[in-house]
Amino acid sequence: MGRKSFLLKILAVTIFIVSIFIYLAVHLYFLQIEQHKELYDKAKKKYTSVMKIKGARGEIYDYNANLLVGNIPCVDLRADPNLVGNKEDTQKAARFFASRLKIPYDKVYERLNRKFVNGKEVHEVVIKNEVPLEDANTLKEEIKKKKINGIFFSDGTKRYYPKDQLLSNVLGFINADEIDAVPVSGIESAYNSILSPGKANITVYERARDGIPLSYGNNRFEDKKQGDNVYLTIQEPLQAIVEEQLDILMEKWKPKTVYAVMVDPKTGSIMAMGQRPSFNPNDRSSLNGSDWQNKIVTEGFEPGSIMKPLVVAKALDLGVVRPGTMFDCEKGKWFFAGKLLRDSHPYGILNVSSIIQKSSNIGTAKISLVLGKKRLYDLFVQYGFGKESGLPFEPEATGILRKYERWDSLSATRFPIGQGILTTPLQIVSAYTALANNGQRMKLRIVDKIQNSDNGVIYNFPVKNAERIFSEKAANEIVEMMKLVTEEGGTATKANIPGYKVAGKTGTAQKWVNGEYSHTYFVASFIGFVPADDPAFVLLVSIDEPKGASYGGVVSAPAFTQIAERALKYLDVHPTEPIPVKEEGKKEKGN
Amino acid sequence: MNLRARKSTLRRDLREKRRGKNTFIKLSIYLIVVLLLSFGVFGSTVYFDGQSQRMSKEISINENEIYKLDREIQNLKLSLEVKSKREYIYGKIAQNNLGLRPAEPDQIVRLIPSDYDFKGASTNGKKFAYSSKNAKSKIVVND
Repeated sequence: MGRKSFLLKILAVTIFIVSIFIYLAVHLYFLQIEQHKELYDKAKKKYTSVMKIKGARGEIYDYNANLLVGNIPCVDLRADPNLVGNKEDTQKAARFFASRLKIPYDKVYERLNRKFVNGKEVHEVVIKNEVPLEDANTLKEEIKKKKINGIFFSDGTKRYYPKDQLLSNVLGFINADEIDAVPVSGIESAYNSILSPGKANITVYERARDGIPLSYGNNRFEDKKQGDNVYLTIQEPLQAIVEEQLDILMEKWKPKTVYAVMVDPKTGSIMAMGQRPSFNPNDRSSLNGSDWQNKIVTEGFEPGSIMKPLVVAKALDLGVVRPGTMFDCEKGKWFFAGKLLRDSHPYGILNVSSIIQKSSNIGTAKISLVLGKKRLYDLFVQYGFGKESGLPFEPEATGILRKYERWDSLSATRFPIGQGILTTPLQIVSAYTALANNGQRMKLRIVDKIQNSDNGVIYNFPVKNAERIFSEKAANEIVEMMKLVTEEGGTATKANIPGYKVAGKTGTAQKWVNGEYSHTYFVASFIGFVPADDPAFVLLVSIDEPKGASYGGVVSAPAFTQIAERALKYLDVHPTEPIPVKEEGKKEKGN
Repeated sequence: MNLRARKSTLRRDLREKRRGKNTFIKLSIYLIVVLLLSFGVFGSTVYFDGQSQRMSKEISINENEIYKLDREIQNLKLSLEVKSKREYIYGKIAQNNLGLRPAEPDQIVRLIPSDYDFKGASTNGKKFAYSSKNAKSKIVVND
């Protein structure tokens, strides 16, 4: 009986265990086979999420990889009004955000209280966009402490210009809307297609209960396409030096506009390009009228006497004059083709070198007549006057160069002294690269390279081919003449830099006002390059309607010196001349 | 039937009964072992799957941390650029009364000699400071 009972017990246990397993197997069958579709769809609905990922807009750097435009991380503050709570909670939350974020209480309260719209529950309202990252982190802590519910933070970025108004007219800016960035001007606009990220990737993925994506499942996270980075030829320290001087000029001479352009004559690379008035792209509430425009590109001016070396160089090249060729400067008054042409002083007989040194209009006009109208016109075309510079800015002024057929008898005497012809600062600087680069004009460039931010591949923008305008011999001769301008007897002794030879030219151009050349409004310019025999840069400083003085030698030349001295130190250009030691007891030069 | 025959019959019956029982027990044991093994396999699959999920979760958490740190780095990068702009630097110089100013041209002594040799240059009664290819230090010439 004992054994039988034992066997019966084993049988019973075995049947019990097997029954459990059979039950589990049947249940498994029902779940996996019979109810598979229904349960799968339910789970998919609950644990599937959609993620929209968009890459960041490309950044803009200077030549040495100093960041000029970037994307600053920020946070968009949102709320779910249906989770905030009752009226008291909503009021508490509204008071908190109004005081912390400096937004009107009524506005915040209205949004937090917006629980239904057209009968549907509202699950997202904006409290504030673009909250700085540090502030957002502090807010998170405070919201947790105050037990405010229904608030969530959405990561975002904001376009940021860390140097404020430095180079702002060149960089331009964008307007960010809900969908995309809308470029307005400058490099941001010209290179928008390169800077823009790819289209947003919409990814469907399966997540666990805590929101973490599951490792298995049908998940495909495609890498977001970032915008490419743009590297300019601008050098930020040089730009800062230029803009500092522009601020001083604005303060001192109270002009309408002032600008400066610095270019490497060997490559055509723009090293610095600044203007005032300007604006701060981070704070556009203070934006004034057309201050955001890049006037160096969009506005033309009659260059005045700075045109003279460009013409005389060609005359030397063709052999129609020599440096020692003499011209009668008519004691400062010369009637030609029924019109009077004046000099600033009553010069008598001058050689070509002195004509440049003393900036004689009459002497230059006579040289141009010897050169001839046709050759003069062809020369201006070669210099690029009347054409776009090739830079990517839009709109760009081309200036005005009258067609040859419309030239009259006076044209050949006026255009070479910078009257009756409209040029842009960029055209003038580009033309001067011929003087500084042994007779070869360089086309300007402002973008050095583009970097793919995903794979780091770099595309270099090549230096454009030089165009020979005149011979090296003629270039050397004109440079010798231009050195005299900054020496005793010249019109720009204030452009002299201890330790260096400066080749330059002043320009004091009358403005065309109410149908005639004004005796009140001038554009005072100085353009030069230093060291004269192996220039590190060509620099133009131009001041539109300075008050209190009007001569380029008085107004612009000192600014040229200040900028050039500091630029030469920065570029570590060794002195080419002995440097005078200051005598003790003499007043030291100020900052 | 004699006793011996009965005994042998009994023994045969017993043996047969025992064989039957042995088979039954053996089958039961085999079944339980198989079921236990299946359970073991199933259990370890669930265990390793759970481990995989935990690691995925850790990876996601770390990726999230990296993402946050990347944003912090970007923020710091921009802060650094702000602090390197001239207004900020000049402000700090003024605030801390550092009295810094750019060097005068004659205050610069070049450690690497210039390409220019001014020995014998006319001085016109002026003092000059210059460096030459052979000079090891600044030389002042008095006329």
